[in-house]
Amino acid sequence: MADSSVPVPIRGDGITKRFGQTVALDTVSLQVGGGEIFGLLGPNGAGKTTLIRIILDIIKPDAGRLEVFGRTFQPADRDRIGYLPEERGLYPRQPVAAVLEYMGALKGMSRADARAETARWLERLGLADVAARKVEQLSKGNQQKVQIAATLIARPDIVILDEPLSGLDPVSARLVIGVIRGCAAAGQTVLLSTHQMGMVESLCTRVLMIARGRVVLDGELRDIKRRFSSNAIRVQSTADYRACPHVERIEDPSTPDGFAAVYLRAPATGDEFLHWMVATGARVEHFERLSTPLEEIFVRVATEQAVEAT
Amino acid sequence: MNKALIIARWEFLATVTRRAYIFSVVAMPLLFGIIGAIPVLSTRSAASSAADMPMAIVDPAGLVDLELAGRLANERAQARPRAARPELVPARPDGLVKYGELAPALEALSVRRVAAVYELAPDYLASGTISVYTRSSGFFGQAFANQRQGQVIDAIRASLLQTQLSGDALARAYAPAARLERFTVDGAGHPSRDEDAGTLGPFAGSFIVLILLTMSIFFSAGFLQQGTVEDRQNRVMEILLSSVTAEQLLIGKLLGLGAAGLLQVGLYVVLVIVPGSTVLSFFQVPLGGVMVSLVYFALGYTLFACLMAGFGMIGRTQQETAQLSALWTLAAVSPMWFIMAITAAPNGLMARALSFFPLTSPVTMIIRLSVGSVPPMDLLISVVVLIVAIYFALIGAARIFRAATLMYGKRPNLPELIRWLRAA
Repeated sequence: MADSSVPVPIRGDGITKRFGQTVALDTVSLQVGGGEIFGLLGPNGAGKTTLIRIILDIIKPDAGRLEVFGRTFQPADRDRIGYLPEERGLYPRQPVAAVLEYMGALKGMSRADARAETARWLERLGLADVAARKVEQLSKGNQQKVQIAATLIARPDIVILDEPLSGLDPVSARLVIGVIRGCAAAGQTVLLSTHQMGMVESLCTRVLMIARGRVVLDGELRDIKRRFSSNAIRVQSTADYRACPHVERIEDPSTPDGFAAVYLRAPATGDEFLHWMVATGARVEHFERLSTPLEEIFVRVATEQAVEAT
Repeated sequence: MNKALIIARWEFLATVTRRAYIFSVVAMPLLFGIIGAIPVLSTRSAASSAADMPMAIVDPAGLVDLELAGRLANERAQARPRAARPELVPARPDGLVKYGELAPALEALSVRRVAAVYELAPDYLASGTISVYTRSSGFFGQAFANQRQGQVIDAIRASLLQTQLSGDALARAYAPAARLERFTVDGAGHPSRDEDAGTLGPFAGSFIVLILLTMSIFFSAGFLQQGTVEDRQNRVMEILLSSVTAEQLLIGKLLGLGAAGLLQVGLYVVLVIVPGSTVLSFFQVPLGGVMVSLVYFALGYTLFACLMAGFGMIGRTQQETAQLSALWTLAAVSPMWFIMAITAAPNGLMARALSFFPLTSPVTMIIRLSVGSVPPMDLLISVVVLIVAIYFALIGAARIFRAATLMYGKRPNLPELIRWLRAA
């Protein structure tokens, strides 16, 4: 249970923002706790970036309330929030180390601290040998790593990452995922906006999905996946599943390894199916509840919203 | 350190280390300096070497009295006002040599013992014919030749007049305006002596300051605009606004890029004006007026930099932004169209009206200060008007900064722009 004496890093309540006739955000509420990696999901144009800009106080909401660190945004809070935008934003003609030191200084670091942290982050991200090079001379992936270092250099309490793995190869991506996990382990709050659902499943405990400015999914990732579960079982046994009254359909019944995906007829449960197999004397080698991939949930919800809108 | 100062330092260093900046600061004035210095130095060199040589007068009729001509030339030189523009080649009493025949005079010319030969025709009194013989001295030697020709003509005039006049009458006929005194009448009808009368110096000096300050306003504001467009194109703006307020960002850029512009003008002064001071020594720059002009430079730069920075966020490209900003440039330099009216009546209705309108105030006030004293109330009103205008320009530019961060690749229309400006 969360400690109520510790202010919630990000809390939004009924946030609404319009641009002319377009409703970018419609009564969106969210709460992100300390040390949490929180997934902010949604199709393109859903309103994710608008929500991030409101959290950063770059733009103001038309209605609703947004609090960071338990109060309305204060100018000094900028020093405690690191932001990695989806679009890379660096000074292409300046040396890498100089850019990082400048970004650190803008977050309130002393020159000495900024220099020391620059060296540490360049070392950690494998960029120590390019410190003196101009940003434009780096590969796209290395520029992304510099951008990540610029976001994290001041050890912000809130880290907002918009597509952090953009342009990274698998090795660098794994390195950055480790960095994100390290942030959360150190108590930093991470708000992760990405379309890479595998990354969300491996990192996030809670997610919020926005579509057309409205919240369409919100909560524990485990609960969401359970809610969208298809009541399917991956099973390997000697049983004849077609004979079971609980089975609706079977996929891949004749794979060489004997595995099959069995879809149960509601309201039958997996336990009832397992009992039936045991009762028929079948030998059960493998029994696994199949969960719906987050990507499928995302596509299903986004499609439903699009259909609803038309 | 204050975040605005951190931004200022970064912007200053990023700008002054750019190749384009270094080229414009060092190469351009050097180029113009060399182009300007070569003809001046070569002319002075040619004139100086020729000035050491006398000129020959071939005077078969014996009309010219060289002793009298030399004495009168000396008197006129001593009566000349100190502040007057120096002559390229000062007249010398011993600058003329008389020859009885043309041939030896031409021989002296060919071996560079004389600079030129003036042959008076035998019927000179009736016809006025003088034949002039010189060596080729090129285009820039023309001014020198014309000036020395005046010495010959003065000598002939004095020699002819002495048969009709003498004493002071002769001296006045030789130099009718040897001591010219000028007075300026103020608004109350009180005349005061103009010590610099008859010279170009004071106004020219102030005019140079005017041009320099006007140039520096647009250099600096241009840097700021270029910087904001680049930040927007590089997508840096959104990151910066997650670390600092729009006001801090704008003020930091104003300070840093303003300093870069000032440095550029300062280096122009050092690289061009100081070495050229021997040529420009006769320009008298009124320091008091320059100091007040610097205040208008600072206010003018801040105002136009805010306006141009705001417009820098609206255009999609550098070119489009420059086109949009032409509006401000035209407004700022528009007092130049009325420069004759302003200088003729520096405290007149038009000059005062332009001084109290923020967009025309800086340049108008610098012009007014360059030609005379300005009433303290006018100074006060124009400064207040500019400070108020700067306040609103700063607020507007900061709002545009914040709002334009949302828009990449799309130029806002007028209703959107108004909505941004009215946004909290």
